Amino acid sequence: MTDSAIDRETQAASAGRPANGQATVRDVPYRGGGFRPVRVRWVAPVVFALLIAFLEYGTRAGFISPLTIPRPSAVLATFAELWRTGMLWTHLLPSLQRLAVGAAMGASAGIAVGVAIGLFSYVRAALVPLVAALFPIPKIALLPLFVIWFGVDEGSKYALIAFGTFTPTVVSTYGAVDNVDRTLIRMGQSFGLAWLSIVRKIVLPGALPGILSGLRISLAIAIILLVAAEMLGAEHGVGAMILQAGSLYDLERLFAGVAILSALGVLLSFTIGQAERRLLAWRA
Amino acid sequence: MRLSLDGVSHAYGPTEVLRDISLTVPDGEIVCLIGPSGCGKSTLLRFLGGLERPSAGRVLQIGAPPPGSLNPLTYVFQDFALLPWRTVAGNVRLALRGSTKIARAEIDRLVDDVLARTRLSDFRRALPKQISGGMKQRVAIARALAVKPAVMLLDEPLSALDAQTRELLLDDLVQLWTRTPFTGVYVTHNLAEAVRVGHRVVVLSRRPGQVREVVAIDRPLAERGLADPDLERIQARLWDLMREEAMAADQELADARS
Repeated sequence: MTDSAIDRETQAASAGRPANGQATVRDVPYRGGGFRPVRVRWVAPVVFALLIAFLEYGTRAGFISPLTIPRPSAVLATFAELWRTGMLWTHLLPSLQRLAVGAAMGASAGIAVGVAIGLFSYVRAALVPLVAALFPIPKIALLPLFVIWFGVDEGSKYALIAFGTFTPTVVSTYGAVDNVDRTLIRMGQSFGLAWLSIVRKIVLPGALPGILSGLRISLAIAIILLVAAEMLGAEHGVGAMILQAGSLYDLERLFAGVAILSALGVLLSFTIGQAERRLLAWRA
Repeated sequence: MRLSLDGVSHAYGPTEVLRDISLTVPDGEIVCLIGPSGCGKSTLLRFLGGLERPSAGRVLQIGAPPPGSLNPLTYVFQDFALLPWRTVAGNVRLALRGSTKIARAEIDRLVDDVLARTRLSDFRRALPKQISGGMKQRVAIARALAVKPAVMLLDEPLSALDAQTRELLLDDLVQLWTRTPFTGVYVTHNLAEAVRVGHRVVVLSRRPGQVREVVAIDRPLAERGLADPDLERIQARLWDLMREEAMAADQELADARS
């Protein structure tokens, strides 16, 4: 063997291929990716539109009976009529007022109590079991009691919504306060910050993400309770409207009411999303 | 002002962490505390700054802090402890508002001065999430300098950073000290850091932590460089002192877990 032959052989061996055969070159197969939610904006509207289109087609073609599901276009027409006759506002405005007042009372009291539980061991020891006992009570069951306590008018509805929003807000708020990074609090102490300063500048901003995500749930519960309260006794309101429509078997109207509630939920969720984006821009 | 530990011992429940530690931190010098993991060096630092109380012994402050010191005992934490919702300048300002009632204009002047000293002026409006780890620790150091501490308590300040950033920050620290010497207690598990910034290196034994030896290093901080043979010799000696302790400590953890 000549020197150059050996050279060629060692070269080939070091490149990891047979000395005589042709080297196969191919890409390393890709095995990563996936398991990471990606934001796809257009899918939700398309799914929604397809669903509506299917229902519309089904009711028109006749393979969905009008007794099962009303025709979407008829629901829209009913909605337009509600708008034209002004009935929409007669029902929607009282509902919005109840929701706003009740949820505001419940959420603010809930945040206050939750922060107190997070900060003071005695308050925690006293109230956590109490909240745990109150949380699973179906609040609607208490409506008759609230009617006696707060009157048959708005008072009992405010109380019901407030009470229903209160307990989940408390639980999420004290969880959020517990989760504030303790090293940040030690840092505040090490710089001689006053207790109130630490609460105001470190604990509350640190708990804000948890409080806001808790509000998402509490406000959805508030909508559910709003309808429940209105169904059990109200002249006007989206819940009352749905109940009336249901007893008359006016499915178009019933669905118009349900769509309003659904839109209300989406709106609230969107509002909280916006608040999160503005207030929590500091999050990585 | 000097800080002194007098017969300090501590136990968390049944676990004895520190045993009879007596130590003085002289004025204008940096004392490094090194020891195997779990030997209680960070606990010792929390005693020095009054964030925790030892079960026995006393932590003493000898003499008055220099006039103008807003927060005599000031920490720099391993994980920076910056408020993520405040800007760089806002984080520095937080420490100043906490100390005493100083005029707003004076606060602004102090913040500007200290950010300039740590070369952070261009980043004053940045949020912590926008800056690198090294930069975050510089903000934390700026915040500590702003309150004019009598003693700086540094708890593994460079441990969360990568090796290159660590070198840069070591240089920064040495420069800051050379310009205006401060008293410091520097906890680390990195021997190279200890020999670069320590005037004295206190070697602690494994748990329960006791003072094994105090090594003084005479060479001025500014003259200590990377790969200096004298420093490497000292570092090797420190490692000799620590090696078995570190191995035993490592073993101990493995036992505790099983």
